[in-house]
Amino acid sequence: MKPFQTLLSLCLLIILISCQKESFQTKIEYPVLPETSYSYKPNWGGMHSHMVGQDLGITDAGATLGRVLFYDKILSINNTVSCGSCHLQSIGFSDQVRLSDGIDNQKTDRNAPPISNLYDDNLLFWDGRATSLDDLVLQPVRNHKEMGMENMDFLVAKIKAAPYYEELFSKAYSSNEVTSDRVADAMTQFVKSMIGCDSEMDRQQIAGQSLSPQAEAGRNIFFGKGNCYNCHSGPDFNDRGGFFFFDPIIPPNGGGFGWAQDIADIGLDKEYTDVGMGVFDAALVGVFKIPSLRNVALTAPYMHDGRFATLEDVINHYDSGINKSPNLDNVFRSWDTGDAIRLGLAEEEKSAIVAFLHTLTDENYMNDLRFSDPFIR
Amino acid sequence: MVRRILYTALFTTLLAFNAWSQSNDTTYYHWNLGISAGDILHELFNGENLNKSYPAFVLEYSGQQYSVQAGFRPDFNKTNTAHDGFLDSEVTDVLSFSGNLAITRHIFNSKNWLIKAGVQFTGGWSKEDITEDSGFDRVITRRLQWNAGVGPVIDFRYFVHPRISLGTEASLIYSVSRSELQQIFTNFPDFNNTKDTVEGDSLEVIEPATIYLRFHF
Repeated sequence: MKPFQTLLSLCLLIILISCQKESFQTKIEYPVLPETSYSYKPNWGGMHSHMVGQDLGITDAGATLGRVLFYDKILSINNTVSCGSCHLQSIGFSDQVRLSDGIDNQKTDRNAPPISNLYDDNLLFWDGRATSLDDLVLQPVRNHKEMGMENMDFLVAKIKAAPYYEELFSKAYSSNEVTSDRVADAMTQFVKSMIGCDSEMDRQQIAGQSLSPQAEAGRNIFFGKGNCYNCHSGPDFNDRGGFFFFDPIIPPNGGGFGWAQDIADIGLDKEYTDVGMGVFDAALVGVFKIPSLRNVALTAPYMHDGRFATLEDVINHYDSGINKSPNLDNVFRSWDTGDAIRLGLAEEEKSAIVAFLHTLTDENYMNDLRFSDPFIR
Repeated sequence: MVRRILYTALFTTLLAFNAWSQSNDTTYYHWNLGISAGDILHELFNGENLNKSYPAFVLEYSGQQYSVQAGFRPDFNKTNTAHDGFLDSEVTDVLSFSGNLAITRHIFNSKNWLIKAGVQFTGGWSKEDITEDSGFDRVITRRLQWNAGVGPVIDFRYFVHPRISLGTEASLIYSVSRSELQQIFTNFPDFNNTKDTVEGDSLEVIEPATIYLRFHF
């Protein structure tokens, strides 16, 4: 019986070791905030936006609270992911990987879009499933892959347990009561305040000066031969331009959701790998939101699935790689045959467009302390 | 599945044919303790699936006609990951036990060979804990799994010495299983929850994937 006893003893030992409880010491990491709150008054620079001078509903205390919430990892179920984990300030609040890491090393379904100048957007996320920032800000928090905090009561309980929030809520709302609506509101204020329009292109426009010869040539192609402006117009280069007169007759999006929306099927695939806005309307399968081009030189990889690593790859797609997908936007169809267009850009023309896109980078935005992570000392 | 059945049938036929050609003189002891030499063999027989479905240790009491055998496999793993630049650390603990109980009748017995057939009951339990310690809270994501099954088994032994034998076994097991994903929050126990529960059943051929080296006493 000796071997039997030995084995039994070994089993009991394993059970004993595995049942040992380790002690847990709570250690709170506090945000470092300035004595006097930063001013979150929008810095419009030379931007020609219809919102310039209007009240965006931002208070300094509200945006400060929103900033802390944006970067606080306790908003995720296991305290490992914050909004700032996938929206890095140094690269225009985008992520450098095709698909970001959510909780438990789960990959997100789409590329994290950059954040800037969202103050008046009414079509958010790649598939436009949010129509306002209030609607947007808690969706990644709730998402089971991104931050996993599906129970809003739990979110409130965790925020109440973090001692630094009492004062922040008191300052922002004149009472320290924590609610998920207030969390959403504060984060909305912060994200609304994230405006960057001090790029080389903005400065030259204010001064009435030209860009470098190559960038100027790129701008001419962008607004001319390249037809890029058809989808990338307006102060943030994400508005439809040029088709308004004919929109009711030849809707750029192929109809369905409505015409002249800032959305498009750009012919990435002949057969769709992602339905995009098709979840809302069958006529919009393969259609995605048109992204802003602000800071685009920093926000690689590109497209909803991060398939293009460089701006050159993107331009090559529009030059000669557009597929004739079922819902291909009319902008990309030849008017007579309906086939996907080919731009036939020369290499120097492509380089010129890239040079122009580089002028849309606002370096100050990347270094603006108002938008920086308060938990990094 | 078909490949497994073919392997098992071929193996069984070869062993049975070989056993029948032996003499009938028999010497055996009532108890035996076996240790699996199967990790390498498992890869050879079943390279695409490294899950070990056979016990690591077996203990058997054998009478003149019937035997009762208990087998078990304990498993314990621990990995620790520190996340650079953050307070977070992540520890993965896996603890699992699986075992079986077989009641068999001796259907062939010779000097060197013993073949038994009977019924086998199997069971397993495992717990995988991913503990994330952020300082603010300790969160345990726990995957608990149970399974239980029953089915016919056939067992082959070759005695190289009256006290030492080599053997293997094959079975067809119908089993039911249940898996739960739980979240446990050290500082927020009110929000502990079971996120996901999966139940299922399966019929599986457990091919002779290991050889037991047994000591008889």
